[in-house]
Amino acid sequence: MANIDTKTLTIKKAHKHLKRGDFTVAELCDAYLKNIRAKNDEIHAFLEVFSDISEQAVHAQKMFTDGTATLMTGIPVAIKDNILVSGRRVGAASKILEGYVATYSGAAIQKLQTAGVVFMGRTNMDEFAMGSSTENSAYGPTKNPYDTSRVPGGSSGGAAAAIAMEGALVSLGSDTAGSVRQPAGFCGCVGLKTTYGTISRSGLIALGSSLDQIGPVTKTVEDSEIVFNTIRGQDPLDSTTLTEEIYEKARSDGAKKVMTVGVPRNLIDGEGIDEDVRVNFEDSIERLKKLGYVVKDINLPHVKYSLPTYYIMLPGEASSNLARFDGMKYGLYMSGDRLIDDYLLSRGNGFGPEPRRRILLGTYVLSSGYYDAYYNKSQEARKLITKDFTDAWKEVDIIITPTSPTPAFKFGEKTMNPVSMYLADVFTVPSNIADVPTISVPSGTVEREGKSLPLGIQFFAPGCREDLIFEVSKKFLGEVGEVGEV
Amino acid sequence: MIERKDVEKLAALARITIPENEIEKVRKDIDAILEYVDQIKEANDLANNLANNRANNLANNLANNLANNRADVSTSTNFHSYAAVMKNVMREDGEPHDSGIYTDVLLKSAPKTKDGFIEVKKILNG
Repeated sequence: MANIDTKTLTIKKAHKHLKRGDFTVAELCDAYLKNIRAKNDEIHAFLEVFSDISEQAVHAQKMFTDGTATLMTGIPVAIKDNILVSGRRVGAASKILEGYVATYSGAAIQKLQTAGVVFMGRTNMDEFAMGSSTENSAYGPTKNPYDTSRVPGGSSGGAAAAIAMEGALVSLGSDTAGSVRQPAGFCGCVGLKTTYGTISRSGLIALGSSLDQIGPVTKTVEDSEIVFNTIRGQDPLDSTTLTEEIYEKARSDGAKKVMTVGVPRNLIDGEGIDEDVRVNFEDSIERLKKLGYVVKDINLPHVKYSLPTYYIMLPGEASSNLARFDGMKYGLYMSGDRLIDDYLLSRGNGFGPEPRRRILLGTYVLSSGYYDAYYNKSQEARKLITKDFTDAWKEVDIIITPTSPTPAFKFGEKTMNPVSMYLADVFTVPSNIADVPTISVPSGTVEREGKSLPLGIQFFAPGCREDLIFEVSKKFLGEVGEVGEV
Repeated sequence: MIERKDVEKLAALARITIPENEIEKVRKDIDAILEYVDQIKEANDLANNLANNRANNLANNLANNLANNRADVSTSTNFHSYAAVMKNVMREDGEPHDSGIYTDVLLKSAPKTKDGFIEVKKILNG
């Protein structure tokens, strides 16, 4: 058996080896399976490891034999438990979907299937993607591979931990307020949230429909870009996906490459940011200056309202989306005296505390007496936040912030107070509210109780300018050379 | 400040049972979240002040346009270069799939079925 070092593998390296026949797809998958077997009992990144990996590997291997293999062929991929793969269990880590088997695959999954990836398993998450720690999973939390007394972040905590423990080369998560980027930051990975409408939401169990995007967790920016280019594109089953024409037109606007980096001082200098995070962020700014970027302080006056805006919009949208889970069509069913009791019991027992809280809150902000005071206000605020970014793009090409205000926190630290948990998303949520593409990449580590914990930095770009965040973050990580080179 | 009876009413509207001993905790949590989100009411004041200070009316136009739908606002204020060309997406009628081809797989997911239908309890008595 070939000696495969999963630590240093990237998609391109794996592809080169597979193409040369240094190892087979089956051997590559075995290397990751070995890691899963060694670590998953403790980390609990995977809710399920698929039993047909060897069959999938045979199919991918054939593509190498017959010359149809592409970069993603044979690549081991983990899937967050809210993304449907036809014929496989999927449950958004909720008891209300107990036993549910997906009846179709969404567009992103179909594109991966066409490319011949190997699906390794489905990864743990906060129930219905509501949370920042995976502590809200109905199946128990995932642990951070860097320190098992700490959370991996969330809601795509399993997807990020799966990459950090080398259980897959690529994970797909979903990001509604930072659910890909924040766990990627806590687990030392690269997490991408793209422009709304670049990746189809078909086959993604909806949380906040105006905010949700599927996004990859990877080890390198290059891998992130490869996955993005594989799964993006207009989809007739998601009418909010952008046409190629609109996407290309938006890409051709503005900066050709990144020269000026903006630092929103009014957000960074606020309270609640860990001192080590602050120091690391300033170090990152110095690193960017050394690379030749012009760094400029900017003001985003309304962006500080992103989180309160989100916690009005999101419960509203989520309470509507989660109305479909009624015990009649699929998932958990509990029988009562009358039909109404069936609903009350199935939903009351199927949803965990956080979904219940958000459904009630959403029902409140959407109710006729409060709609203007809350939901409408949040839509006004969303426009103001968006405009902050639009104004900023006149001055800078890219904006940077830390990914999270703290490194990974301890289990139980924030579970008693929902608002304290929500604040973990303070730097990630503006990206979804203002609809700009954002990437989180590792920016260093911090020592806590003898453990080395990863930190992340985010790069925000104008809508559809994923190319700019790939360019600058590759340079930041040293994946490519000097500024100006592409 | 929301009250216990409000929580009970919301739970009934949302068709969720909340165990008796959890209602107070839910009430407190929702109250704390509502107190937190209330700060967005400042966002508009800030916008108006900024608009005045800068002696331009962009933010006011913005506020006036807010009642319109997203596409209209985007066009009028050019938030996103690409949003200016956003429009409703319609699908032509026609070429329906063959009747029944998804029935089996969908019914297989349902907890209770009968004769090719999902079975539910009676809604009307009598």
